[in-house]
Amino acid sequence: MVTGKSSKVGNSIAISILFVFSLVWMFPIFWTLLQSLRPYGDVLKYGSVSWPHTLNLHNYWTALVQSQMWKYFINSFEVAVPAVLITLFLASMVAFVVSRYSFKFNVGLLMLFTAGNLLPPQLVFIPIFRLYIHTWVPNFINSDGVLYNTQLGLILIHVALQMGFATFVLSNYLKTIPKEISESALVDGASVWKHYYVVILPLLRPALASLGVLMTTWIYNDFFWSVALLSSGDKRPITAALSNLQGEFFTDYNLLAAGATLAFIPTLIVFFTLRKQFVSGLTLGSTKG
Amino acid sequence: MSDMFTEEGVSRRSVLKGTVAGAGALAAGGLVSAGTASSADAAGAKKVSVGSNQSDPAARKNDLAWVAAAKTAGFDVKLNTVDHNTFQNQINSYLQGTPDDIFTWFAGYRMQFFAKKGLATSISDVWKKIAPNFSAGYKNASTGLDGKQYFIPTTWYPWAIMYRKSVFKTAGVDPATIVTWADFINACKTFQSKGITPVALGDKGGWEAMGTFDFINFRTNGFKFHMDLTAGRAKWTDPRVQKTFANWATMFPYQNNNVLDLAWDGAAQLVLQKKAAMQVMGAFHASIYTDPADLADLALFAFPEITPAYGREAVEAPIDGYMLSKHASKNLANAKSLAEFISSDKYGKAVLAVAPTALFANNKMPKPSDPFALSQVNLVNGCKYIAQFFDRDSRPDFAGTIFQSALQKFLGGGDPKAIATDLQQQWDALPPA
Repeated sequence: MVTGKSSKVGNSIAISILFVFSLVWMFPIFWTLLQSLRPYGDVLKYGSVSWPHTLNLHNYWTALVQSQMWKYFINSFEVAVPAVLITLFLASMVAFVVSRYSFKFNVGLLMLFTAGNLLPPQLVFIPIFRLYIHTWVPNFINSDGVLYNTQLGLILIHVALQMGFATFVLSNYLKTIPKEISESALVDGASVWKHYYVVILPLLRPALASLGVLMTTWIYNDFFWSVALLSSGDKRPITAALSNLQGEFFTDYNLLAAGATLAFIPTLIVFFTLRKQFVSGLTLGSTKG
Repeated sequence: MSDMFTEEGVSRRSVLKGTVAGAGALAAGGLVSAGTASSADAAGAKKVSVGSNQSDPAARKNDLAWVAAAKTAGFDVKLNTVDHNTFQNQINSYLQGTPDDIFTWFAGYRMQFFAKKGLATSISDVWKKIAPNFSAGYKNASTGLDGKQYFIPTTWYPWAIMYRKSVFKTAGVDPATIVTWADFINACKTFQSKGITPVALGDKGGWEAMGTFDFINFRTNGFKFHMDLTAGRAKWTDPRVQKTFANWATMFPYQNNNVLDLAWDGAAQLVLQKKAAMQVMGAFHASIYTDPADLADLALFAFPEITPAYGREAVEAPIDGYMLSKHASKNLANAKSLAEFISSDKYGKAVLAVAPTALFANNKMPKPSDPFALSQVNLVNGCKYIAQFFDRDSRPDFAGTIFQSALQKFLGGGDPKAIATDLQQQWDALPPA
């Protein structure tokens, strides 16, 4: 048949296009890696587009130890981990209620959460900044007594912004789980909490894992809010602190490349350890049972 | 590659568990310690917080040196360092939020802008005590539009034409003979005939070429017109602006042809590598010279005269220093006392010990011994007027995006008339400052 041959040709065309695109995507990463291994002196001597004469890990050492990037890694995790856990916990509760109980405002509530997702952060930044500099927190959290410039504030904003998407995905996922399970739980006399905690939550695990992976990378990669809501240099997460490696006038791009490489390593670790969840996370909630 | 993680040794689950457990513990610790760290007390020391944009390793060394000196003088300084570019971009929200008591900033319009907005604390009373340490020019540069002082000047650096002595010698050009614009163009021709790019310019960042614009503008039209223009009192549609652009255009044939692809340091490297002869740049041009032999070969001369009436009377020499935020009112006595310390030669000597080529505003400081630093002092001493640099003399919202992209358009071959009209329209569209 003709179709067999033409699909073969089509396949190889598709593959060659994909190959070219993968090269385009990989080039900046390889370039960054290469530059990160070259000392600045080597670039200065031979130009940045030249065969490297020296390759070593010195830039990594400088970035991690001398520029103390490790501190900012800790800051990143201090924000990302609690933010993801709180988001998933709260979103799973909302999803549980909107998909298992029918209220009049059920759909409205879900729409509200999803609509919040559509607001671009640049639009809400100024009101949130104003809100933060007037919100009181106890002195042991911030000696200035306001939510602005605290990691707590950063965690809260991530929770608020990720809740919408998480709720949307989890409630869609819950709709694929047969209602009969819930009904039999009710028949067995489970309370609302028990129904949520013992029956629904374990069923949500694959969805929670996928979402957790996606959100960890999103929050970890956030730059905007950490610059907007923190004014202390030593509280910033790694993404914002990368610019510490840039000078006022002079920037050692080789050092910056090493810093950037270090910054994306955690994302890679998360991706490769949890890639099944990562991929399923991309299609999560897109089908309804 | 992914298989490394799954099949060999490290299971995905164990990595995940380790990460979550470890980070959770850190999170719990971090949240609590964030608040308590600042309350560590040195008995009786005057506590002041300082926001600093001195993030480069070298600049940070200066900060640490003077903070240590302040400690022996009885201060407990809490330093909050944010990288230079973010600090600048964030300054508006920083000052409206919970800023540090004292923060690094710049003299000129940039200082006046925030003083006028009520985001700074006046230190006129401090200036009454410290005035003898500074020449009148510095006091003017520290004064807001309301006549009160808001700024403590610390260090400065000039802009000039940077060159390598050996390159000039080989080409047979004597920099001392470059006085007029015609001399300058002649020198350019000589370099070009020897296969050396006469003038290196990079304007990828948008700000680098402002230096050249400033020089050509006040050499062509005088210092007063330049300051009127940057502050918006003169119009961009003024025919004098066209003269500036026209004079600049006579330099174009002698510039490298990838101006918009290079940042300032890319252009400076051309000079370092002896591929180009000159660069109109700040003294920080020297910061890419890692080899002392190269550094000894570096020198500067004043930008040539264009309109004879204005000679070489003006120079660009930005002043860095400190301001008190509005927030400092909660800790006013200590903050003012530290401001006084910063204005003293105790501050200067501490910084000088780690930065031997730094130039200080304080007149109690010794003259620099380094020849390159000394040439900078002499350059500025011979001048009647000092400009701060375009982005420090003009509105931040104008200098930032609007003027930078206009300069890039001009360097890319845009029509100067259309650019000037466009600039004036955009200035007029800005909200009142």
